[in-house]
Amino acid sequence: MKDVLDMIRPYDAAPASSYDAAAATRAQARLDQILAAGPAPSSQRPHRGAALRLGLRWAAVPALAVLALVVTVVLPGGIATTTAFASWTAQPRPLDGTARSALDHACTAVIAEGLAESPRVTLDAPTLSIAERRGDVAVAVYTSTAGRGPILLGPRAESAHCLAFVEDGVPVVVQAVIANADNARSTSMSVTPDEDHAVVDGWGRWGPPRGDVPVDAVSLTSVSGGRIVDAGDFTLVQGTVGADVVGVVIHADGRDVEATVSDGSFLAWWPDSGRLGWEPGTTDVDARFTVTLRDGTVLGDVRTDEL
Amino acid sequence: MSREERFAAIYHREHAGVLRFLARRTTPTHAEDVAHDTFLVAWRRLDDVPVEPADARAWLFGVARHCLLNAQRSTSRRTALEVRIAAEASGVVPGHDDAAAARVDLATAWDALPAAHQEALALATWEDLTSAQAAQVLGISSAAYRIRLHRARAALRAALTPTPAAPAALAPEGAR
Repeated sequence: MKDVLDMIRPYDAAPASSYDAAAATRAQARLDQILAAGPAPSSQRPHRGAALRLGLRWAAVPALAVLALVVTVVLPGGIATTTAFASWTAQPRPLDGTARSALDHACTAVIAEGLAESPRVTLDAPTLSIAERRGDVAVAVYTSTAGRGPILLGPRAESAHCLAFVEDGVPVVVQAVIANADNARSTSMSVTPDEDHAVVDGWGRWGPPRGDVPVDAVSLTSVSGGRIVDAGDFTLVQGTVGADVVGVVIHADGRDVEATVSDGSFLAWWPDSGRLGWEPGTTDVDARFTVTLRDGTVLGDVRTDEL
Repeated sequence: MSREERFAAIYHREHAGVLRFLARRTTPTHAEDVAHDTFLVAWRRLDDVPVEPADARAWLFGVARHCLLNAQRSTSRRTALEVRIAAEASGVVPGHDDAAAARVDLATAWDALPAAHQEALALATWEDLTSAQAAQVLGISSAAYRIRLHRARAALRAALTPTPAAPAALAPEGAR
């Protein structure tokens, strides 16, 4: 089918020909009327559709505090329903080729808007380290090796993740979160461009990556989540893996969730509101892990501090 | 250049575009009144009008949309403006049966779209704005506009796609 924009283009209700000489004459009279009245004394700013303004909310919090992503959105009418979370699967499907590129493109655009909006978070030379799909939800994780924080505060991590609903094969970004964290504090911002699926009650905790993760261990770097309008709650866990780790399964909230492991990172998420009790810089979390090593060894049902 | 000269230059450059923007969304007479209100705002806020012509145009469209919404709020609680399409396509010879049928289908599909979808499509098609400029007109982020435009295109495409009367078989939906 022809592109719909090309189809409707000829049906312009106000083509250029509609602005005739009579209209131009009336316009000149109106201009004279405005100028004759002189400039108004005050600058009266029209509302910028505050109720419709979505998107950028961000917060900076101490590393041990829970981040509340305050996104209050009430839109009249037209709220769509989704089966995105109903299609969730415990096993991820890696995205590659055009699907990966499409997700990367969509996420990069939203992240760029977030970075332009807030100078308080940075993401230098990000690399798309994970792109996975569970049902109709695709998630991308970006990491950056750039560390720009004070040396005394130790390593500083810049990262981002992006969650998109796949609609007719097209990833529609629901939320992108950019986070910076060091040993003293974490700063993050959330971009929620989809007015039909606004993220409310967002939360998250971020910490710097451990530089000394044993080859057969995993280390958490963030636990975050929120509630998506007309979809539900979700929890998203990210971390780093040792060099010999090829598989991670997280046992939490009554689920066994297989993580995507790639480029030294892992990612898993599930539709539930568990916060796992994790604090940055610690290995204490209300979840257990099964880790598969490169030689086939399975370290089953252990906590991260036991690895 | 004096303030009056700068404003007059903007007015002469953009008035036709603003009037056409409004004429797609209301009656011709009302469009002229709202265009006048729009340029009154621009005159009062001349320092806020962007210097770049394309940005100034988007800024004026945003003000015009706001003025029109305000005028219509006396009768209804609108947050989006319905956009009209022409009864006949420009440059198309009327009378051909297929063309007439296509026009009716398009008009029906267009009228069934939510106003927010009509706005998104119109800004990309007839106002010929970039995503950033269209987003400015609507008071939303560029990403939000791109999502809205994507959904609007999909909705119009779906409305124009014939639905089989009796499908022979339905494919399984998999994990959904």
